[in-house]
Amino acid sequence: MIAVVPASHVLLLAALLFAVGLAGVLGRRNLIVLLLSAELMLNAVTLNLVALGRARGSFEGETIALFVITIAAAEVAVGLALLVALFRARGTLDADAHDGLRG
Amino acid sequence: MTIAFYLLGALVLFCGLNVVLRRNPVHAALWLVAGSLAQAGVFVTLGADLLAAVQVLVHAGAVVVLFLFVVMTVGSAGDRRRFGGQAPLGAAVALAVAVLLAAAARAADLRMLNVLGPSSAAEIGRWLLGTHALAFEAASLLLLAALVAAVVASRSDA
Repeated sequence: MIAVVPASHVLLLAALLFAVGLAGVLGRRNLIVLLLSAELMLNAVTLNLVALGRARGSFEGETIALFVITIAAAEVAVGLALLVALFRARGTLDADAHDGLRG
Repeated sequence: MTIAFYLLGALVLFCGLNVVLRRNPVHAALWLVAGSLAQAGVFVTLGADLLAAVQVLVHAGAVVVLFLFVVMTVGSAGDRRRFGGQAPLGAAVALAVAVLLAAAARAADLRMLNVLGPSSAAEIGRWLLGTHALAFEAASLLLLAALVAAVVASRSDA
């Protein structure tokens, strides 16, 4: 028994979740919370894929969502390794402290 | 099930807001665990059972644990200020993106989601090993590359 829900409601939930994650990525200074907000954005994308796949009548959306979760896990591993390297270079997790490329 | 979808959806949004707004990064990571579990519940209400299980296993069980390992290594001092200088502009941009996506969602002519039955792992397996077999193999290569990159990038100068 599946929820009797129009697809636009699920897409709206995914849009709001994406916007919350985007606000976190753009606004927070702590690098760990920045990466957590990026994970939130990927969660929203997964929800969107599931809704659109089912609305078109196939399970292909869920299959692609599996790939998205895989890539999210790989991205978190590399992102955290880079975070550790940045912390060793500067001694802080503040995103504003890494301004070596600023002109 | 319909009420469960709306309740779990509200819970996912609430957990997401807490991820973005908490001062302590460990608290934010734990709110992401709660949000991932609630999102798995949303997947179950929509009929995507395999994806709900994978979400709990990978997102809630492995990704956030990795975050917590790194926080234990690096230290979780809360910062003096939570938000950077462009946080109001970032929030405005995020709101604009949400409005745009919501307008697109309303304009799309899509049918209800319970027309399709619950998903079967066998059919998803057929998709994975049939049409998307190349992407499947490429994903395993990507995981190997990410593993090597993570080990190399986090090495100290030795």
